[in-house]
Amino acid sequence: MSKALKIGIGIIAILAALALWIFFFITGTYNDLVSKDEGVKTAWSQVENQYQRRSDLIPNLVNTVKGYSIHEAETLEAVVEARAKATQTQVNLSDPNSFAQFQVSQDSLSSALSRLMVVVEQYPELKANQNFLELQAQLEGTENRISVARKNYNEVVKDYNIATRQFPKNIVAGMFGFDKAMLFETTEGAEEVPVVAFE
Amino acid sequence: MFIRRIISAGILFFICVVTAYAFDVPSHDGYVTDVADVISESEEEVLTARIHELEDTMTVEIAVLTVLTTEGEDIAEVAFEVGNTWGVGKDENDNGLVIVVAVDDREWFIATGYGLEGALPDAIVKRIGEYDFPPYFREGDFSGGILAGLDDMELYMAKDPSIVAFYDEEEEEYDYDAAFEKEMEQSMWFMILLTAAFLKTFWVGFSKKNQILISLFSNIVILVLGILFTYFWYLFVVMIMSILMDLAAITAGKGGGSGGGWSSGSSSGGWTNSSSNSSSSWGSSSGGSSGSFGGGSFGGGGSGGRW
Repeated sequence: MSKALKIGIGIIAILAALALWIFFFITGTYNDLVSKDEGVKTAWSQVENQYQRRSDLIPNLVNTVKGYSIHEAETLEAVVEARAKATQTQVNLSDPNSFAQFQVSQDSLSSALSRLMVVVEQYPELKANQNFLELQAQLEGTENRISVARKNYNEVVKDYNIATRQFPKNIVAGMFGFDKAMLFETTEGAEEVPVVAFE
Repeated sequence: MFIRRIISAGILFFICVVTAYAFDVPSHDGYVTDVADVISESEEEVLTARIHELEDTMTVEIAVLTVLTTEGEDIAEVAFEVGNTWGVGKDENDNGLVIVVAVDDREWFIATGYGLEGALPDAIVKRIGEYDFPPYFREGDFSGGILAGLDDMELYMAKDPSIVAFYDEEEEEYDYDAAFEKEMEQSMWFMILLTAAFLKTFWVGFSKKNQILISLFSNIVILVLGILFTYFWYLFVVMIMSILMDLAAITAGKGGGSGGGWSSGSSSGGWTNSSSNSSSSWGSSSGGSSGSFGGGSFGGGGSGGRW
């Protein structure tokens, strides 16, 4: 074999190795991004499920409260309206606007619900009603589940976002259209449940 | 000016520290972790035996935690955090139960793992807690109240066969994700074979004669090992790299060892990337289990109250 041929083969071998390396890097990164993306979708559907669960509890709650002919029609109406709005809102995970809208509509429902609960405090008979107590327990449980699902979703999204933004993985992400996903932000004052004291 | 900056930085730091998650999940001390010290040793033995009995008959895992206060943190969140960190419940069906009692706060919470949410819905848990706990807790008899609660919860759990985890007699363990472990094994072999290929290229390169023979022999050995222990794709990659490296080593002449070394160095960098990704996800999924609990997880089920 002539020297030139030997060098030629050597160079081809090295280039082939490089090409293979790049191929496997892209494949590995793409597959990793895919599985992280699926993780985000799964975590999101969990969040949606729990919000839906809350929405499903509300008609029963409204009916139970109505049955006690209390003069709080406005508060009840607010809850019914907020629920309708929340169930209508569709979400596209990469679209910050639709995501923000979803969060706003669910937060409005949360406010309407907490106002209703405050109002109910004035009606001891309703508070003692077995059905109402069960619904209240279920509602609280659902709020807990929503909280856990959101926390979990945020963690998964953080993982995914880091993977799509770090160099050099972000090149692969850009090539295949992996967009950054949205995080849940806590709205100010959302944790504050209005406390009303009756003397 | 300078002093003002230091003070405002200090205040900022203080705020950040204070608003961070205030409650630290303690390490568990068996089934009953009595941080508040409200359960005597003999009571703890009775309670532990009862919990053990429930695990034997129904495979459910129960953890009890008593603290003086949750330090402003929502007791429900504390319960889920504890459940997930300790990994209460069998990994395969998440049949864990965590009972948290904050003695000074006068609050209790019973958290149900994903697998127990069907047998013990939130409303039932609330009713059991509100009925069983206060009479005992008001007297300071915390283990008594918990025992009463467990008795009632047992009735509901007994109705649901899905909470029972499958015990593999052969493996002598609960049916964890066997497929995942296999995947880890394949990746490990891949790394071993790749390293072997890299090393043997040096051997090929530094040999004065019979280079082709040595290369052929060692590649066949790697091929056989690969067929036995790893995926086709991994093996394919290793074989191609191995042959290319040997080619480079042989054709680069007497000083072939360094040529082979260079190309395999860049390729092993790419693969450690993808295999370290799988090992990092492994780390996060096993992070929940610790010692005696099965690695179950909690999704927010359960209910709480005050007394």
